Amino acid sequence: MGKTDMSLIDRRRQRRRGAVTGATSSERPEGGAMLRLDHVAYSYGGVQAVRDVSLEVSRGEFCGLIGPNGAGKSTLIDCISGRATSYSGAVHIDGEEVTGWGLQRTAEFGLVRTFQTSRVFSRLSVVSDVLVGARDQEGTTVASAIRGGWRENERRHVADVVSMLDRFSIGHVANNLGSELSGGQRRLVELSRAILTRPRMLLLDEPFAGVSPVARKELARHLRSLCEQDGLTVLMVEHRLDLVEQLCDRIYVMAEGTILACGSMAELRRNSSVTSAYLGKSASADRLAAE
Amino acid sequence: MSAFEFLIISLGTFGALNGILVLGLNLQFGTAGILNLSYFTAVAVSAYATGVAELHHAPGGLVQYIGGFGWPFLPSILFGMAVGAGFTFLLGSMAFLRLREDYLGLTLFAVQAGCLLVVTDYPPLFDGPRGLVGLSGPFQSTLSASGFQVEFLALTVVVLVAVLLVLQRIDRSPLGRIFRAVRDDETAAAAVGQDPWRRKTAAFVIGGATAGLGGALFATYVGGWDPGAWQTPETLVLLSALVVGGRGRPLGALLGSLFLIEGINEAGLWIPTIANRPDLLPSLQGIATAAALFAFLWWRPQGILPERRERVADFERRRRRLAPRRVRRTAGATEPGRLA
Repeated sequence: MGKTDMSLIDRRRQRRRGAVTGATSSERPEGGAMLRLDHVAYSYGGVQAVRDVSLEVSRGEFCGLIGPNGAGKSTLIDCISGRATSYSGAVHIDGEEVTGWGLQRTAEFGLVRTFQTSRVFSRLSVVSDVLVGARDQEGTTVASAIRGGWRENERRHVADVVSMLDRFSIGHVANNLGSELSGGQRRLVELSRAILTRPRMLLLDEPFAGVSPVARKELARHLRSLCEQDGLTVLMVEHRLDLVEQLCDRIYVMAEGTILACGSMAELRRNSSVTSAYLGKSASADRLAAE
Repeated sequence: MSAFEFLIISLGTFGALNGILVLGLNLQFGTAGILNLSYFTAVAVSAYATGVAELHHAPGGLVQYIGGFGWPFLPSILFGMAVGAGFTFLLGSMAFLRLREDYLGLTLFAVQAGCLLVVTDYPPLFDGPRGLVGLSGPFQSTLSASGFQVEFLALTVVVLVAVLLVLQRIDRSPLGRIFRAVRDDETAAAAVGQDPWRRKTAAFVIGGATAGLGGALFATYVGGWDPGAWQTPETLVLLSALVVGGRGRPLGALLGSLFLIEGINEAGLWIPTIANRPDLLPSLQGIATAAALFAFLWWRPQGILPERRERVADFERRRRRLAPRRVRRTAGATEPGRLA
């Protein structure tokens, strides 16, 4: 796509993401921290939901974040993504400090998230819903919308959308409204939208909840290949430990607002403080080991 | 011109003017989800701005108003439209920062009430309750009365068609899709990089500019503007037309305007007085409007023409429409007889 085909706003947006300089995710130097949290803390309504959390996720890494209910995992995702902005501490994404940035600005920078309760656009069809996330769309300003000439660009994005929906076995609901979807379908639509933004990093909040086994397998495979082939970085909150073990290079355990431990699943199973905090009973450590 | 011809032309002109207004509100409320209960304030601001641009200086004495530039028709209309858009931008840029949904609607409602009070009670602005009078349309002084009616009907129909084409283009574009996404879920839209504030402000201003255009033309057609023309129920009638016609769809909004505003409100003005009670007809019109609204909300809440759902096949149809044009361009002189 030539420079003249994009509006000023689109070019500014791309520059912000480093795309114009040619720094695509596959060309950036290997390693290095894509996400770094320094002593992040957040409280609301008298509850200290996140206490002094520091962690790092390397570029191209698939990281898991597990912990019991109420540990502060989703709240931490809210802080990182900018949905919550009144936290203390610092958040860095790809070397840039994004502390206090809002949700939209962070997403535009390349960090895109999904939600614990899936959010779809209830009065849009699924194909339209996912299209909203497509990057480098033409016709998104008033002048270009009236001028026209965006159909071909839109058609290409629609092809990508349809392909992704088919991959996740929800191609048959492409014409359904968001309000007509089941819980699992909503989750897959939201994930498709997030992936279509071609982010630098994905924050996933329980992406497999309510998803059928077939779609779950394909989703896991696709996320893993995005990491390995395209250098996508992922931080995933998930309760299904089998999937966490299968997908994640490294796992953080969170409880009562703090990070308890970090390591592989095998290391975490041997950590008594992790099993105690996660399940609360020493006898249940066997269940964790069995999973 | 016979009375019947005058009735038809008048209904047509008011139909086109109300159509322009309802299209602007459809973009704001139907497509972008902004409950703008002060929509008619933008109409009034533009009408007044057009008036003070077109009229000459206030003669003094009891008649007083600001401005009085004596501009011709077209610059006055454009000035009115620009002032309406500017007012809407200022209002929206402040309101959208902090307010959502019900609170936004109530605040905008209060803005209209406040503006109405200021204009009515401060005569140096726009001559208070008397308002501005003496506006004239293009060539009105040289045309006969019936000639001007026909001319203005043609003008408003052309403007209506142009506004419909522009707003439909926006509605069907990726920008229109983003407006609807922000309407449905601001957080989800923000999570993929769309700025809800910026998008809502854009929809608000385009709708405000459309309101401004309609207000400027309205004031010119009726020859003036006063506080009686922009009372609070005016916006509610437009909203009702949207609900009846189908919000989120420009053609639906037009149909709703034709049915509810022209069919019940405007046409009713031409019915002779019933039982010597001049107050009876307006009351019956109000009842009929409310009844129609309730009926649609009960039996057909999506309106006459529901919001368009984008299907995969729609994009395929657009691709096939594009393809023949490309073939024609590449075929060129070698296949002169080939059809698109």
